[in-house]
Amino acid sequence: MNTLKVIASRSHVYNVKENINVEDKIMESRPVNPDRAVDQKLVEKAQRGDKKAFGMLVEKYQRRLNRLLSRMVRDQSEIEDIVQDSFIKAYRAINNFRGDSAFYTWLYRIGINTAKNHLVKLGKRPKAMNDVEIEEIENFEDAPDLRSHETPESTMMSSEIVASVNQTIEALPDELKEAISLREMDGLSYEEISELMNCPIGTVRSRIFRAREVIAEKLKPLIETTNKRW
Amino acid sequence: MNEKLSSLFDNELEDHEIDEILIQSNKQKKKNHWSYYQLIRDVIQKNYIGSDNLTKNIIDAIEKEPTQLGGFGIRNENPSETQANYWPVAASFAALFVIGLTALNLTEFQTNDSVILVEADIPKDLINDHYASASSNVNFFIQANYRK
Repeated sequence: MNTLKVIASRSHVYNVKENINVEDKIMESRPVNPDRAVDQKLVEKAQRGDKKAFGMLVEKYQRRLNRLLSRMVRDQSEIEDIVQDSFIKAYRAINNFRGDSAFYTWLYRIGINTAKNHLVKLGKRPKAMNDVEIEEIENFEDAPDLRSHETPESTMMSSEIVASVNQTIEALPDELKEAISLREMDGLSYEEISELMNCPIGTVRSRIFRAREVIAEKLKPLIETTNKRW
Repeated sequence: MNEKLSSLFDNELEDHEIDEILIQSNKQKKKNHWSYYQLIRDVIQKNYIGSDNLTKNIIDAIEKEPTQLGGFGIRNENPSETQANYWPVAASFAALFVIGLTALNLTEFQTNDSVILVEADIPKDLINDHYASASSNVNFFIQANYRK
């Protein structure tokens, strides 16, 4: 029962007296940007000619870039063209990336410039964006409602995917549900989760992996159908 | 392999493990679950938008691009490490400078003029004997000093 309460909400976890020290520890040990190290590795691989590593970055940031640009461009098909152009430009310039900023910040800037140029070409006035606005967008948590730009079919498929993920998570055994929720909803590290769940880090690693595999297997037929239809 | 990929996705792998997993991932013909992990995260964090076909289009377009080979742009994160790398070079230059200076001083001492001055104080027959037997200027000096 206790574990389910932990899943319920992060604030609930921190209201439990015995977990207060854990919370302090969590806040102290949290890295500023844990994604950056993995991204840097993938970029270095891409700089050495590994296209698959760059593909992993595409899979990671395509939707986020799409969301960002949807605040500048209304037409979804135009956004997709801009996203594709941005990634190609990023790949061509990958050797110029020196790691002064996070990869996604660099990529977003390429995306925004590509979008601006695209709008200028079309004779549309681009929405002015300065550094502060870009930063605001990067930290923007609530996705804009893009369903209005999607086709009815793609909207239906998106809803099916979302429903499938949520239903599969609900049906997971408690320990897997708890591990994946703490990781994905609360962004806790394996070490933090192992302290909260009172189990070794290896067990946390395995539980998160198993949860993802179950969800991925459920999604596979759905995604394959989606790709065939689109 | 997928368990390590899942850990990589969470940035929970050591550097050597990352290299290993990326190499294995390249060898693997079957598509790995990386894209699913991102999709699951996007759905859970309510960031999902239906554009999975776009990912494939972008990756196909990247495949057609010439492979980027360089990797010279990697910045050294630790400036003290860079500074430390200059010390052996500086030490080598200093050593070369000292050796050069010493060699220059020796050459000045061994000019032809000083040899002629020394020769003037030595009887000619001794000098002739010396040239007949000595193989170098060093021997000449040693012998000349010994005779005095």
